[in-house]
Amino acid sequence: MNRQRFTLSALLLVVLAIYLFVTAPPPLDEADSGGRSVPIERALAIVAAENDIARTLYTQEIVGKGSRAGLSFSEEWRSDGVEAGPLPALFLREAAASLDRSPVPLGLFLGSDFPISPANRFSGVQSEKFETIKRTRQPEFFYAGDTELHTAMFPDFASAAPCVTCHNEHRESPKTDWVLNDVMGATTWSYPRASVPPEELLAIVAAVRNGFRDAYGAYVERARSFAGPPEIGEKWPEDGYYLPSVEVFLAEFARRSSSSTLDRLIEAAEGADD
Amino acid sequence: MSEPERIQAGRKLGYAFGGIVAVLGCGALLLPGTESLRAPGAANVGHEELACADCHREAAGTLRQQLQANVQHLLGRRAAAVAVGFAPVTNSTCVACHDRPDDPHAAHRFNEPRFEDARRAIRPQSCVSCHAEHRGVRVTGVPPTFCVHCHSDLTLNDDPLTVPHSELASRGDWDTCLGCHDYHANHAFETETVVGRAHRPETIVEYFRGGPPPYPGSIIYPPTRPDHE
Repeated sequence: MNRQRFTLSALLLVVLAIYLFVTAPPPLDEADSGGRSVPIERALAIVAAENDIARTLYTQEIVGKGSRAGLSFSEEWRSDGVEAGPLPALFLREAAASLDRSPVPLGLFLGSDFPISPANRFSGVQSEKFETIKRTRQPEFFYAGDTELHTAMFPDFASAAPCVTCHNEHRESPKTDWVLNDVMGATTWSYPRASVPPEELLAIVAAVRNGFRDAYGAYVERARSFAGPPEIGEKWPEDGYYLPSVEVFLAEFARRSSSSTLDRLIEAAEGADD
Repeated sequence: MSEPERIQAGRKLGYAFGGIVAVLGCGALLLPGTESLRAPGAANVGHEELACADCHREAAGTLRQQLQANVQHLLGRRAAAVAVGFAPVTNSTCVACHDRPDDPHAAHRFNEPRFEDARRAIRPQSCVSCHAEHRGVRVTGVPPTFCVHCHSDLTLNDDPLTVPHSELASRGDWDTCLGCHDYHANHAFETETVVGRAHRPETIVEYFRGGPPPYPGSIIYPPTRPDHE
């Protein structure tokens, strides 16, 4: 190689190195690069606890007391001509669909070994983990290799009377002797990262809360179109044929959940790995 | 000019001419209205009016940032690689227009661990597994018997069908499912209960290939137009 060609090659290499390594434009963000991070198990435990509170609120105060006040709830609640709200399992599915639309890559699913819909029956690793959950009544964590998702299953307890009565009386229910506090199923949560920085954890909690807003909001929107719509505002079904507005529902949810969630968030942030 | 020099000059002229033709040709392909020439195939049914940019959005960052990020990734100094040029087309791209709040087979639901066998077989967690674009059809990659991957043990306590679902499943009549059921439940009709009146499997195959929907009733959630925010 003659001197001229060597000089030219060296110059080209220098230019290429500058182009590729000198970060005159700032490097693209990477969500989990550096900084403190919270194990995903802890993050998912926080949103699972929020979910328990939201679903108990919906099941007890809206479905349970609403049914006595004249409101209906059905699997077909979105079908034309059906004047009903979503059953608790479908409330969760609405929240899960909202999560799917959000930029937060959090997955949420509900299943059981005795589901009303056969399509929700656990199999494979979830079936094995669920057997352990029924025995210990504690969550199970694992890594789903094919989807590369960190996964957690949390027991779904029969926390309110309507859970038990509806599942025992449903014509498609494969089990009709449920009692209060049974482990009726499990919520499965998944996330693509093993740990998240505290700010990402906050985004996850916000996305889940937005899911509850969307789920309940979809019902309220539907209820407005009923031939005889319930009054929507400050009052709850325990007072009669009423539905709380989305804001009132979420305020009650926040009253029940925010203190414990804040404690868990602080604990998680304090215990975050450097 | 000697003979070798003439040959060398002619060769250089040839290269220059070829280069100019190539640049002009590529440039012409970038002109507005030439999108269909760049597409790898005909748009799928219903997507004929879409522009390339409706699905193919520019990736985040400048080209230099993207290349730097990927070099860092190759050197092990960055966890994830990034898209160069255009962002990949994902479920979010599809859902931006095809969001259906009560889709019983929403793709994201198949990320649940228990669908591992189905994921291995037909990848239902990804829209493009069944709707690969630029094929000029409606459904790709799956036969009309794909329901078997999730519903092989189907039994209903109160089965409304003239031939129970469990019997159809045990007989392996998986090409009958879509004769009554619209996979994404986006047509407003009463589900048929008389098996003999179900749409024929060949009608479903024709629908997959881009034929008219066999399901009666209106579209419940028409697609929205792409949002270019």
